[in-house]
Amino acid sequence: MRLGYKNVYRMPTGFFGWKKDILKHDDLVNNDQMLGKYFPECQFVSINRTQDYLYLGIDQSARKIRLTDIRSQFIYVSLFNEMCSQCVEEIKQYGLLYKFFQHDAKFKNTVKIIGIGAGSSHRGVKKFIKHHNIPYPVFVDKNWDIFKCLGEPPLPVAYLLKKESGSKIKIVSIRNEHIESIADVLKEIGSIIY
Amino acid sequence: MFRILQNSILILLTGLVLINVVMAEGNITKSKWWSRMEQEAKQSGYHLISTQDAQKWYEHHETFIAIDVRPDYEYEEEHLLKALNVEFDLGTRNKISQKKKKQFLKTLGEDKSVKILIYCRSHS
Repeated sequence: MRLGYKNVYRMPTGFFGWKKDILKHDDLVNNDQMLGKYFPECQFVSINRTQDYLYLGIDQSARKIRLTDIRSQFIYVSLFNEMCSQCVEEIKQYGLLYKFFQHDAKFKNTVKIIGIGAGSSHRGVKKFIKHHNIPYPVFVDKNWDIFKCLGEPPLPVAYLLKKESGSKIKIVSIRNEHIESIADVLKEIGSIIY
Repeated sequence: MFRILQNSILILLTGLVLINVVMAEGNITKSKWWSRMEQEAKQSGYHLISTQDAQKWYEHHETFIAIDVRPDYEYEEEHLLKALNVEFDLGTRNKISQKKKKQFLKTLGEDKSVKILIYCRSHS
């Protein structure tokens, strides 16, 4: 969207980047204040029901999916919006991560990946899944409720969650830096899980 | 004695080489992401600017309009010097409403050659 303007410059690291690089403020992206806190309780309607339920180990009779129902100790949650270009880039990387997890005996039943479309519509996410061939379950946070509970983080952001007793799910790691290599993400997850 | 000195110099040189490799690796790692951003910028018809180069615009008193597209409450808390707020939501990216279009045009003015610096919260 340029509206005819020819000299448009985008500062991709944004205001947070400015504060960090120029004003030398490091206490910025307070996303990390969610670390160690509990992930908001939420229920989702599945878009690809059979596939999602099978992957997540959910009883087929369940109408909705709660994170606590997912059959793994850890859940890797990618929070995105389909209009965010950086999110799209990372979705492709998470597709690779999913494939790796599925083929690795250590990770396969220990961690599951899901995506949550913040502010996305059911229809928008369905199209998005199909267009980008996303192999893992993606759910919808239509009214930005989960996004707001998480402190409105810059997108994309990913959370590694650990299930605790009593239906609580703790945020044990947050990734809000752009992914340079999926190997880094794997290493990070591996170091926490094992 | 000479041997000890020789070994010390060797260790020091090895250390310096390793430091340079690590630093270079860091730079390469940073530029991978930047390259991807540059590709997107090229496809979408705008330029990228680093924080350091944007800082130089301010220091050299260059003529430009800074646009902060974050929500108004974030803008009001703090923003770049002389930046104006045109709040965009992610849905605006593909389809901009007429009202938003008018607001944007009113803020930027009619001169299409004006230099515009646009920024959001972070890399989203």
